[in-house]
Amino acid sequence: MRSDEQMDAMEELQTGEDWAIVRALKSGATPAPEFRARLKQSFLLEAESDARRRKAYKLSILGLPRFYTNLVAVGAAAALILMAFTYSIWLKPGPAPQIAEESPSVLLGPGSGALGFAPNAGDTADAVYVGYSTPLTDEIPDTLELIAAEAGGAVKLPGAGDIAGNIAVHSARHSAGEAQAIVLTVPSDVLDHVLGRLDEAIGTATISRPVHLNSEQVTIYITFSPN
Amino acid sequence: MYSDASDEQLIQLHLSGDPRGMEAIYERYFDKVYRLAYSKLRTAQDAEDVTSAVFLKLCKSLDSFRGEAKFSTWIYTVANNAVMDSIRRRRPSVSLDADLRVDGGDSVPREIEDDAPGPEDHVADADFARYVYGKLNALPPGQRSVIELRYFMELSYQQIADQLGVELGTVKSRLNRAIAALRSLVSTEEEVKASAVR
Repeated sequence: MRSDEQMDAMEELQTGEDWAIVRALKSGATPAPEFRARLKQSFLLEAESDARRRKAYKLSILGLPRFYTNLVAVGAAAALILMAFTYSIWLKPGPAPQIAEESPSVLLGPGSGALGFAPNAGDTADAVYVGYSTPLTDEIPDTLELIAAEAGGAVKLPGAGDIAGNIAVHSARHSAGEAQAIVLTVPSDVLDHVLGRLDEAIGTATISRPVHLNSEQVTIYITFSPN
Repeated sequence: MYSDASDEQLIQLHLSGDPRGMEAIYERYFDKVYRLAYSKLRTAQDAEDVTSAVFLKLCKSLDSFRGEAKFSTWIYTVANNAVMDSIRRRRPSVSLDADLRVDGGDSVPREIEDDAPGPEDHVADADFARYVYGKLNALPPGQRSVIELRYFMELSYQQIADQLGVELGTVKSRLNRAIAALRSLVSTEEEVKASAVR
């Protein structure tokens, strides 16, 4: 590479008599020395401050080297992107548990001795237990059906399908001498009325009920034990 | 101390937290930026204002210097932008045309136009230089650019070609034409003034 002097000499040869112009352009406009010194002082202060700031930043956030903070930032960004693409997998609900069709053979009621006793209402309905020490006669199902209809509820008689939509009603009839149960589902706000009607129509029974009703529907388990 | 280091090395030194790189940058570019500003604004006061603005903002502006261009061409752009800002801030009555310019303010002794020496005075080099500077605005922009890059920013022909996006030969011919045009402008005025004296 040519030195500056060589370049100047070449240029002088090329520009000939115009060298005076070139020299004027190169040497003209000389800044005042005091301005040069003053600006230099200010500039160096500024540069020093900026260099300190950059050094501090380079040492980085939380005192970690910048490389690691960058690594964390890249990792976080990659994780976010991955989640964005796979959220439908992560957040997809699991397969719904298959609830077995209620079977008439399963005795649902406090006297049944069945483990995990629960109606298929998903344990959301409050339960009331009504126990009669009389046998289940042929008239009683009709009476219960009437009472349930009055209350806007439902009853399922042994061997019949659901009477009202998704209201689960279970019943089981057992051989003589064993406990027999009918499940009645009614709105909670008419529970007292229904219990009163049962008392009138079938007779006095032992009743076990929660102090507070928290569900809209209440399931009444009615058992008949001749013993 | 860092005279052998390239501009880019000096910048990297600063970016790594060592302020000594900037001192070398200042020594390299102070005159260049000042000359560029002076050639366009033609008052020492305005040139000083622009030079101050460029250098005092230089460190923070470095974030926008990505090393895709050479530092010399980058700072040329920064200085030109500062000059344009200065021109915008000027009073509307002040024109850049040296022949029409009316001056004001307290920096009259440093002005080129009204108090600039005529050709008959250019026995002193400094005065002749200021006289030549006063003629720069009469050049076409393309010719003026090569003058600025070659003689103020002291770029090589190849760097000028890269900066302007033209062929190396174009740079040389444009520079020759610019110098010839300046020579012609100076000579014409000398002749006019000489005939007026007669």
